[in-house]
Amino acid sequence: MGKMTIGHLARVEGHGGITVHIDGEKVTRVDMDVYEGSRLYEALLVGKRYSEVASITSRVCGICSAGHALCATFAVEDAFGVPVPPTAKILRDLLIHGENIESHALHFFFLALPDFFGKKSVLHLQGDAPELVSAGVSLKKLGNRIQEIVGGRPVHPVNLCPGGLVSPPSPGELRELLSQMENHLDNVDLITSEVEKVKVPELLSREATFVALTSDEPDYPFTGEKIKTSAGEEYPLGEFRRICHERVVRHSTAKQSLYSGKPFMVGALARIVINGEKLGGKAREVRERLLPPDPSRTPLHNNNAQFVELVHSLEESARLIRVLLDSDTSEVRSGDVIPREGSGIGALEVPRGTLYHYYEFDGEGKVRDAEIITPTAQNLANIESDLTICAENAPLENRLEVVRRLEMVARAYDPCISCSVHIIRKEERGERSG
Amino acid sequence: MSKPKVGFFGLTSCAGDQLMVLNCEDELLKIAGEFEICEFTMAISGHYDGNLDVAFVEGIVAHEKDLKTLEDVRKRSKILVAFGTCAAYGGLPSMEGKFDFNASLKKVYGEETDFLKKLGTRRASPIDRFVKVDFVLPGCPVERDEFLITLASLRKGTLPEFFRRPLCCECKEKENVCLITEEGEVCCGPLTNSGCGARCPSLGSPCAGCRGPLEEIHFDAKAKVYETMGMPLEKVVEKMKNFSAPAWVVSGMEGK
Ligand code: SF4
Ligand code: SF4
Ligand code: NI
Repeated sequence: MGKMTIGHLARVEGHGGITVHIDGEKVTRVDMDVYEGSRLYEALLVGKRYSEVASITSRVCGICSAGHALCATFAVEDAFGVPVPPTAKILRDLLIHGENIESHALHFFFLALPDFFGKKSVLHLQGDAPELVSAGVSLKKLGNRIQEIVGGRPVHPVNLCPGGLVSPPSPGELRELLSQMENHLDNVDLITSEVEKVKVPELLSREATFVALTSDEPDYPFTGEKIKTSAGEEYPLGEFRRICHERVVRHSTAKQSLYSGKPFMVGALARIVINGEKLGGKAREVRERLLPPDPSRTPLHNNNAQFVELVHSLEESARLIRVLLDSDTSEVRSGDVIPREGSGIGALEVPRGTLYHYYEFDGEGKVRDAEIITPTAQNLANIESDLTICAENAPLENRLEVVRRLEMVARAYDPCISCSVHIIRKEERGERSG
Repeated sequence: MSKPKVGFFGLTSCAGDQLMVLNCEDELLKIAGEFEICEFTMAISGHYDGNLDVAFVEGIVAHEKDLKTLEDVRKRSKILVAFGTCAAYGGLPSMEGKFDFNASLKKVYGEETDFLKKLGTRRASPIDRFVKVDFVLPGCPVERDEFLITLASLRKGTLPEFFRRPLCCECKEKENVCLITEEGEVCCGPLTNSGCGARCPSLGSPCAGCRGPLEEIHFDAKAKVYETMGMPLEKVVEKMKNFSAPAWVVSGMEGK
């Protein structure tokens, strides 16, 4: 049994590697290794007050911090039946789009794009693709600015609370954002043409299952009352464990999610596969230009799917700000929150896929039990199965080429390793037994 | 002076501080021009094992591999910066004393957890338990401006002097109403490092102490201050411990 190892995957969030197991000439299995210490957030939360849950869980991950904070807040509101004023809902949607813009810009332009030009980083890309670099930089900045204005800080928001937001942004700040969004929207066609020139390599082709939240509303959803699979099944949020059947992989220490015993994919591509029909405006045009009608056969399409969503989030946030500017935005917080014994679920499409938070509270509003299921934990099993197919097709005698291909596939998922709270490293394992 | 060689390293963490580096969008190219960025795995492919002028280290030691990285980076670096509250004070993941490590492993992974320890999992600790730290940039995450000021000083071969006051001073400068005296909220301002411009109280919510405790806390005096405000000091310390427990609990801290 031979092995080929990529020690530390660069340009992904957190510490991970890849091990290809080879028997003679044949690839037997590929592992996505995770070298991250465990931070045991689910245990840390026990005994904490409901009001601290968002602030604590945002630290699960810096890149996904707004998503965690919001998802936790949704769960608290679900548990105690807290109403949220309409203005706060709009502002929270704006925050979701802000995070989506920032995170997709970071991944698309900074982390993934250099591969397509054979470069080490976005800093080395200036000469090859100056338009793309500068668009990426300024989009990322805009995403952060939205999060700062709505969330109070670009990373780890401080302006969320159960029942709404602590304080509304000023109209001046909203107008500043709007004018930047409009500039970017004017530029979309140009940037799309540049993105179109970047060819997506044929590294693997397979069938996969996709999962995303969906809703009966006409809008392209980031929140929703149902979980939908690409096979057409729908489940109420309360049944999230049927989708994300988590298992601890013994000798491997990573919890993985399976659906009906099989791996599945979440994230921008999954959302487009499941809800893509709901895209409108420019995003719809861009989708037609950048993705084939059925983009489901390779995870590499996730990169362009993120770009499509970037455009969607730009259009949506501009629309939301116009709504806000036309209305009275002073009321962003409902009255006092009254804790009660019970449980609550939060579910949200964050940049990398569906995120679930589940809490049980005692009568004083202290956490009795907590469960967090992150998109990357859900994707892990699918990443490994895609890496295996990719390795099977790769010229094993050419190590550099194998590494290049595997890294591109893993990166396309935009894995967020910190996010997978209960994952620990899974190197040094023997045969997989669990 | 030739370009200083810098590296950015993440131990077990949320990567929020490394993200703050990338969040200096306008300055990024300039930074790359003024410094030789030798290692920054989150953003640049490639590994470097030479010496560094400055290493920014984010996160906690929660794994044998973290410790190895930390010790190796320390050996190779002239200046080691504890980058963010986790590295400096332990941050949220090391709420020591608040929970039983073994029980927590079981809670998250189920009954059999021995395999986890064999694989190197350890109790979370801030980095100064293991190596000498030359400079602390607190914050969860670090503040962009403080990071940029630090870089500017480093470029000239020095370290900046941040005047750390109680966060309350910044809160007063913003002319906020005090959330302790007016709202009866548990606010960590009096014990917390300044430098964020009192973000939370300025919005209307109490400080959670995310920038960690001031180096010199005169407890007796603070207790009196809180008393006159009608707030028991213990309640505030309890809240501070979310982000900096190891700094408050001194015994029983040797990482296991
Ligand atoms: S200090 Fe905060 S931002 Fe930095 S790693 Fe820790 S949790 Fe993340
Ligand atoms: S006010 Fe306190 S909790 Fe808020 S950002 Fe500043 S130090 Fe952190
Ligand atoms: Ni994340």
